Amino acid sequence: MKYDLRDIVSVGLATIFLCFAAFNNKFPIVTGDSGLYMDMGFSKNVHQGHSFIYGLFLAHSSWHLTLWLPILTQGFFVAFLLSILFKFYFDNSNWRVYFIGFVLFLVFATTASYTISTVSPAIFIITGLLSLSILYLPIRLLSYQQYFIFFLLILGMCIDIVLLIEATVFIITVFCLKGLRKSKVQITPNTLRGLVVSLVVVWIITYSANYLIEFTNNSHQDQLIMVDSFSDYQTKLFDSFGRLQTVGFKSDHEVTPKSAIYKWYHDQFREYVISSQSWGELSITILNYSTLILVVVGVLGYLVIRNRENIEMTHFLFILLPIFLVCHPFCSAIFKLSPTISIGSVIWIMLLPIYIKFIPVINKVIHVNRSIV
Amino acid sequence: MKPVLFNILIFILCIITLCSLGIYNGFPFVFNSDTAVYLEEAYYKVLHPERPAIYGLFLQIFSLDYSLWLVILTQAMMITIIIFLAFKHLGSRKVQEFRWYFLTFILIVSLGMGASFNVSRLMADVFTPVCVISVGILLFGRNVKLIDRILLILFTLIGVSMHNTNMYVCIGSIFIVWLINEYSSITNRLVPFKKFTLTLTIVFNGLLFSVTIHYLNWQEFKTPRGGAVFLFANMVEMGIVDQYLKEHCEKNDYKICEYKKDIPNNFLWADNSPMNKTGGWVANEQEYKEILIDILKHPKYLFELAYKSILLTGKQFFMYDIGGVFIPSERIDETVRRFFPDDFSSYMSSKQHQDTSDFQFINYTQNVIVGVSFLFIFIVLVQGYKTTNEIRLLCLYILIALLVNAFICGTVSGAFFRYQNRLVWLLPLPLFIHLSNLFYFNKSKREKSTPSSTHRLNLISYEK
Repeated sequence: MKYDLRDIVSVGLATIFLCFAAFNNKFPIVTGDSGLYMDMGFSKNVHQGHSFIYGLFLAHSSWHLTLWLPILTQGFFVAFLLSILFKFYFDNSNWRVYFIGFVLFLVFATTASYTISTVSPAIFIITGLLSLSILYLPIRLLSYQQYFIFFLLILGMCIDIVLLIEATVFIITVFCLKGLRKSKVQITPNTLRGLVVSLVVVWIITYSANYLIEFTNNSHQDQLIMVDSFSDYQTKLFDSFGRLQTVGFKSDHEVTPKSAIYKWYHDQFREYVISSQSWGELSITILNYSTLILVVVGVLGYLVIRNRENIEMTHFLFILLPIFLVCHPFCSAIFKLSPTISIGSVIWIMLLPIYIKFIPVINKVIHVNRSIV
Repeated sequence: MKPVLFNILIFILCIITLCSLGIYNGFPFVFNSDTAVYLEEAYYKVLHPERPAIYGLFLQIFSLDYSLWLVILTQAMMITIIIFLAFKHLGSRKVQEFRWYFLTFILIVSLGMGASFNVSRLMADVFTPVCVISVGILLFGRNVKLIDRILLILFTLIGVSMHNTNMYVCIGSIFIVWLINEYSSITNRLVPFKKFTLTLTIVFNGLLFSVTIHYLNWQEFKTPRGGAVFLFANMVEMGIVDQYLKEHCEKNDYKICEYKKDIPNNFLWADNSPMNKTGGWVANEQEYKEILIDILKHPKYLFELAYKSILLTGKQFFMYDIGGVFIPSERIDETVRRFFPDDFSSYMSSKQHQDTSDFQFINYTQNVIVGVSFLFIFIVLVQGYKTTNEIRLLCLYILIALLVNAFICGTVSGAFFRYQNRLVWLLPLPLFIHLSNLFYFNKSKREKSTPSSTHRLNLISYEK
């Protein structure tokens, strides 16, 4: 799947559009927990119930300079994954139009841009899910694209333990179906192998996290940065199994976004203070309603409209995405994990299969109208 | 009904629609103390350093010293004329062919975007789209008759002289479009060089027009000189001044050094701002200019300024919500009461004064329309969708005007919603002109008649 200059321009534009909410707010949007993530990334303190990996992601992708870089990176991840899917579904030069159309639709009619522009790990559910979908679908990827998507999947699973559990169940199911030689399973053996290896790696990391954290707490922290990089989610999961004890976590809920920005991004403090959010002028009530209405109407429309093109592949996304999203809070509850990621903030991804299914229908309508004219 | 009468009716409907938010508010919107400053400049004959006084004069003349409603009616009329001219010279030439698209465009940008808000507000911002579109038609319009040309030149002169930034926006846009026209395949040198030089001359004459008006009314042959102080204030918000003062206060004896540890963000207007503590705008202008020049001489700060300017351009580009509708200050109350006593009761009971205006829904619809317009521009410019040369040039020009506006306002004054809101409603214009052309193209095809000579070029472009 090669990208020419126009494709790259399109992905670049999509990245900028996806960060619309941050630009509109004058600063990346922060939540109550954003300060903790920033603090974790730099001070290497682990805060209960918050993904340490995301803290590291913030610290490294921002280059300790500006929070705009992590936001643009988040936007790029989503734009890149969406572009691969659109290139796959619409194998002609028009894919760019559909792709940019979908991005603009997400940005201006849903809360997508707000999720992407927020200093929060929520967006990694989306990147994880999209990566998994891309790896499952029969898409011819270049090797660097494949590695990058594996990287995003591993990152997503490390940040969100529930995604790890869901992905494990999914891959085991696919593995079993493949073993039973079900014709509908489209994944290639190589990719399946890669997925299994990724899972094993993340599970090993997860399993060893507690021991390693214990080890670091008895040693000098700065010497073993990698050890600190494991999320306490992982350890917490084992806590729920009653096998291991969580030790040495610092709980400091006094790290507010304001204090963290002041401490870690001091040059940006003025910028933060004049943002719309700081002035209490940020409101997404209408966008929340709009997202909800669009998803409900879209799902109903999807079920009503009969369209044979790409049907199996859109069905895959249409079924996989809600299952993952619905299972997410249940998994959190079963394993007593802190629900730091709100599903409401990522529900807009449901519009992807709906949009893909609707495009041929709209094209057909336009074509019929043209021929009448 | 006779076509002429019908067209006049459409025209009146457009004017009323453009004033709709003013009607909804119960009085034209006012902005902070700026509206008061403009009125004071006109009525007290005093010049304020931060604002050009011509808009004050405009308020005085077109209110007929009677009512401020007349001002927004004039503004609406002006916008209607300029959009009409755009449809006429950049799309189909016959009124019958585009009038419904023209009306729909005005309805959509008035009720679903910020056009009506800008028209209904007593601020010079409404003149930015006027001069931007005038320049656009002067550059790309075909067969522009003498009367229309005179109107466009007049609009450009007035528009450029009304606000500090308008001239820079026009010059920047013309320059970039010229560069693209010369060196890129998007336009293939469609616009002759002569047109660029002529239009640029008209824009520069706007400056001359401005200083002449200032001289005739206030006996001062100069332009407003607030630019340096605005830029300084913005550099405070960028954090560059903090850094500079930290490193240079030991060597230099600036007044502002005394306050270097607690400079507030709202540098220009905050009561505790060092500027207001040390004599105000005029008293500090020279010192701030010196600091600015010194900052620009240091590559370290210059790099920082370039980076922050790019960031602010990005922010300003996407900051176009309708906002900044605050309860008017006592200064405006006093000005309206004094100069427009008949309007005072409706002003006091307006939604803005009662703080009950809400623009959340219109901001949402504006976003959706902006999304559709961006998609159209993307399809035309990146995807290479076949359309007329005028539409392609207009798409490019409006996008560039928005970017230049965002860059200039963001860098000089800071990112504020009103700066981009005044221009963003022009985004759907190419789409609507294209639709009117398409309608004509389809109609001609259906009738299988030979198109008139003026339309032939359009048809050829589409058929290609």
